[in-house]
Amino acid sequence: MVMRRERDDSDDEDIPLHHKRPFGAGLKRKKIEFVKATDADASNTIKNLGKETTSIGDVYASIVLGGGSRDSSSKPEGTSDEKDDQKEDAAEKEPEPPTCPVCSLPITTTLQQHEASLAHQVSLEHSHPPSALDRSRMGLKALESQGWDPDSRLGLGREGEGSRFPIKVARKEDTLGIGATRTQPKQAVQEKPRALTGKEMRALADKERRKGERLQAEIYGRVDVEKYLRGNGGEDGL
Amino acid sequence: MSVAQRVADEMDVTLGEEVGYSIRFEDKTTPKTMLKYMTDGMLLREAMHDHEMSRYSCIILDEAHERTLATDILMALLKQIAERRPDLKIIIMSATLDAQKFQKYFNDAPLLAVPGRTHPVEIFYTPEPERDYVEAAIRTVLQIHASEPEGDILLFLTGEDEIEDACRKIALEAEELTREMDAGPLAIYPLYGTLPPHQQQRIFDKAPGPLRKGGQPGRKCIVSTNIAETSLTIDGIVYVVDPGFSKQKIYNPRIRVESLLVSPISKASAQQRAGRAGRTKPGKCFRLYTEKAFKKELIEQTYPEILRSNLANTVLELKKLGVEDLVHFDLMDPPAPETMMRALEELNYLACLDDDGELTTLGGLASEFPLDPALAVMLISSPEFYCSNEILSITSLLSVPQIFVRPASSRKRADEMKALFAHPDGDHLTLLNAYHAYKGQETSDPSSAKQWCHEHFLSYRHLSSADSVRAQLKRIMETHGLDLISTPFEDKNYYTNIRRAMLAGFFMQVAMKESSGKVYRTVKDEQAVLIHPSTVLRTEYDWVLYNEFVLTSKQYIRTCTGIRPEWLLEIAPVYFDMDTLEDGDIKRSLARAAEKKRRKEAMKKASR
Repeated sequence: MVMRRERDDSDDEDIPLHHKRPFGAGLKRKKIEFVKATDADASNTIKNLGKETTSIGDVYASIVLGGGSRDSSSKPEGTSDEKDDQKEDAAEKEPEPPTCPVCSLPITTTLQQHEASLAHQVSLEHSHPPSALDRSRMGLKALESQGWDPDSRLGLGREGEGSRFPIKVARKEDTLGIGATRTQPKQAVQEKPRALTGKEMRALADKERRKGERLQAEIYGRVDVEKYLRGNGGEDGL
Repeated sequence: MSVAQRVADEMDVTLGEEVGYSIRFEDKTTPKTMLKYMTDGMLLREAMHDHEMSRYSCIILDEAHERTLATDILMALLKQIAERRPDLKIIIMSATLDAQKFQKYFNDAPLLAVPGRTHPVEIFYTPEPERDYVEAAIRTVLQIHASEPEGDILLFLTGEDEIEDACRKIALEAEELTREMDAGPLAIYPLYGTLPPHQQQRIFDKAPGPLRKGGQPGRKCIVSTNIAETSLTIDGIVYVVDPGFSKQKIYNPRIRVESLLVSPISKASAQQRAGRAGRTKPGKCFRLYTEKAFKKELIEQTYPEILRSNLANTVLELKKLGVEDLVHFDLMDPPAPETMMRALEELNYLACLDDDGELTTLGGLASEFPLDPALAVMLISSPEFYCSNEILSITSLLSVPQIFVRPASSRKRADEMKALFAHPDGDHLTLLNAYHAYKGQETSDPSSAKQWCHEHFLSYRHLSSADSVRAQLKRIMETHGLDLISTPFEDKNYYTNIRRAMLAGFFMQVAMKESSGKVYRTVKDEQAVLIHPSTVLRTEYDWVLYNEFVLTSKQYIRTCTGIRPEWLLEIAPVYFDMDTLEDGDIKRSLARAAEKKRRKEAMKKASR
């Protein structure tokens, strides 16, 4: 389906202008194909409301979310304890490679070398650079006086949950559909990637050289010119 | 209003008594009223004077999913009030899938589902991204018309021009289809916000019948902006074509520009659009993008208005509502700190907030007007410039849609008519001239005013709504003891006073011409802009003030008036402080103007 459309488009370019059919005649030529959605849920908006809702028939019943969150919050502590135990065990059994507390990798080299390694550097907890906002702004002072810290990497809101940056503005001036890109990668991809083998390379170079020689022979038919040019890198072909 | 009427009818009471409503220019309630319909904005205005909303025992917020600025603020306020007033009942109604988000926000309030009577909608995607969504949309409409069974089509596009253009193309091709393939007739209706009401009404017309007995049935196709997504319901739609774009307002606080930009819609929005196909019977939705793009490229929810707007007005309202702590105010989606900072700074420059962010007397007064702070401040300070009548008119004219009509079919004629009202010093004064001419016509011969507007390519509808805005603002001015005065028309300073008075509110929207060519540069934000081609400004002004910054293919400033740089130093000395202005052409030009003025005054003194 898709391929046919592509081909049709390229055919379009070849039709001489005066043979092109007017805008109205295109229906049969350029069919827009559609495929059914694979996600059945998407077709029914009601289903997505989820289980936590009550039907209007159960006006008196109400469901309150929550409860489950407490269990999950207690878990991480337990697992981290276990990890510490394991670490201690490992340290006792194999005393040679001590584990680095920062990146939790065994230190196989000297401490200095280890600390310079990329893995260690990446896991280091580092302080964030201060916010780039101009500190003299009246707006910033007003927000600071109400308890907002520009360097806290928090937004506004009761718990600082607000977005930290304004929505980015992107101007759209074309009629490209969603997901479409301006460049037509298909054609580019087909031509680029194949690397030439040595044999083909030599054959190509040979062909080029002969082509060059023939051209030279045609243009500069006189012997003295040919000789003169040969001395100047005629071997390289073009 | 129509809902209030319906409820009043069903309760067998007179509208305006037990059941009433309150909209921007009309309050139809009595002390007897027990059920009142109003917009979210109106309730917010009421809350400014009644922080506890003590008049109500139950508040229902409908269409909360639209997440307008007023709805978001009301929700945060109601959440606060509910803690103080356990007797108050609050019901939030939302028509989207993120009901849980609302539930969580309101401290896990009970959630009730009201299943709508909708039919299943089958979703289709394109196997590949489309290179031209408008073209693909037109083709899809025609394909549906040629091959699908009876049922009307709804196509979503982004704006007026795109819609009108698509309508023309579809009409042309549908005609051909009828001729060549014996397809039924296809009636095409555009739908967008600025379309006159009687034309909007046409979308409810019945689809045309078959051309001849036993022929293919006809259908209608509505090409609409996203107003058909939630706010308007059209029965009979079976097919929805969704290219996945809409125009959305986005605010960039770094350059202080609010612009309408074509952006991809959200998943929630796409679901809402699809749902429009299943109102009368099972329908189909054709999405002009791939299923993968739907899952990966579309955001979950449309950004609420509060994240996409200039908040100057909102901050002023919040201050008036008694919200002291803007940082921890419990909004559902708190705005970005930078946006909030900009709003505070704008209000500070306008002297509505002091340096500590506290409301000033002027700020309190400005919040009484249902206007942007800049307009409100301009209006409040206009008596000082002896032209409050004129500024009141200009403010009203800027608060309604464009009054000059320019239909595609007769642009030249429309421009000639506009030239009749043109004032060489700018577009604001041109608006004023047109308004005065309209008022003159209306008082001398009211019956012909409509016809006169039509002949002069003026919108009668928008002029009369400017008139009612003016009346409303005038009442507020009178209540607060603001004088309504005019400079005599014969005085040579009549127009100069108006131009200077406008600067009192719009000194932050000023641009200076660059030494080369037509490009202007906005002060402080340093944006290169062109004056919108619709301007009447003929005189070559080096300095202009503008009403709006429009971001289309180019950056334009629209509705401009020429000003003199020395006025800036007189009227807004804090904003144009020579010590803090960045070095550059603008500062040099201002310094020159100041120097010139000093010399002139010295000469005056000497000659005296």
